Amino acid sequence: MSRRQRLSQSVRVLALVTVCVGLLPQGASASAEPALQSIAYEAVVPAYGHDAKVVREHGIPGIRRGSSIQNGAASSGGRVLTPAAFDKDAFSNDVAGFGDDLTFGATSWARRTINEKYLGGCGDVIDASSTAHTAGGALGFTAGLAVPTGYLGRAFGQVSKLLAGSKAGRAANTGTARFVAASDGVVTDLVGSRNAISIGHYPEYVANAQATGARTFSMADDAWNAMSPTEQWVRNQRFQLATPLSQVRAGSFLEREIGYLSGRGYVPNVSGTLMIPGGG
Amino acid sequence: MPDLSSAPQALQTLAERLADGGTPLRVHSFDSPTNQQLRAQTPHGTVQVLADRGQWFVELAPPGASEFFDTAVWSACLTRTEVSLDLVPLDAQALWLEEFLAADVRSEYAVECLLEARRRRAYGRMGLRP
Repeated sequence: MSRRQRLSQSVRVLALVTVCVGLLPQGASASAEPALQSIAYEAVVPAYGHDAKVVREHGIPGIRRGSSIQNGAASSGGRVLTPAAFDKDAFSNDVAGFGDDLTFGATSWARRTINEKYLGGCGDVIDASSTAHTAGGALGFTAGLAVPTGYLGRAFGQVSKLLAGSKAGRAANTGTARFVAASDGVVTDLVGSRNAISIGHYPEYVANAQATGARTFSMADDAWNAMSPTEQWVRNQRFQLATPLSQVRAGSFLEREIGYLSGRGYVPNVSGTLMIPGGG
Repeated sequence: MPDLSSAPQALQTLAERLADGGTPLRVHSFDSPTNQQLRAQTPHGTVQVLADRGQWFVELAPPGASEFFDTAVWSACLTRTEVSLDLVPLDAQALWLEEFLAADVRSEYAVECLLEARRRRAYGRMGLRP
């Protein structure tokens, strides 16, 4: 696929968002637009392995595939996203499915909420049952390694600000959590056993992912809270600390994540390498 | 060349000062402009500028050491006072580091103090018992 075609596909996604923003109630557009743009960027950016900030500041220049992205995917045994994987007419569905998988359905939640609250059904243009949607979902985990993962959380944080007063709104700004999933998509810990989730600073979490054949992605706490019981199966699991507690940086997202866990009854184990449910 | 285009101005200024002093920041690890690790070897220790999920941090490791500490930890051990749990603005951290690196006098501190102060600060800020 040519650079021009890729750019065209990216623009289509943003155009979709633009159309939706145009349907916002009067007065809601100004506040909702950044959140919608963030979601669109999050949909486009992981698909193309592009840096989100560059996209925000300079538009969408097409694919820029970083070597660390490809190396990470290769070392993890995961599939490397290729332009051909997105060489479909139903690109917006593809990207939407990708987002759902990447966030355990959280983008689906965000889209539903925005759709119900603000768009009057505009979000229905994405067909969750379409083949392209499914294909996008299958690719979600692989690309997660490449994503500057804070952006997804920020996108949901912005969405949550729009929903002030709701459960999700009150939970906003609590940061994002990082997870490591094995190549089969199952969340796993550093040594490969299931039912643990890895969180940490850059670059420790990347090293963890590469060392264990795992991949990373992120989601916001508020989105997590809003998920179904099935989607929340990771609750009550252990959290592997890729960064020791004593080295958590002041003011960091990681600090907020651990504070979030602590506020929900999690305590560090004796060696400070895990956050475990209290009494567990 | 490190990509500091998305870094706060204070860190860009610090990077210029380090380069002017002959100890430029170099890429230690890089995933994207918002996830990267830069380091500069100076006579006073190794300066680390870290971008993690778009958040920027600056730290200093003692000469020959691989453990990095923020300026609040350094300040506590240099002045032999209790480490603060407060968040120090990045501008102030960068300025503190510039002044520390420019000082001619060799500062006295113990690495053990730095390690313990960092631990107390991290645990204290997260509401955990050290």
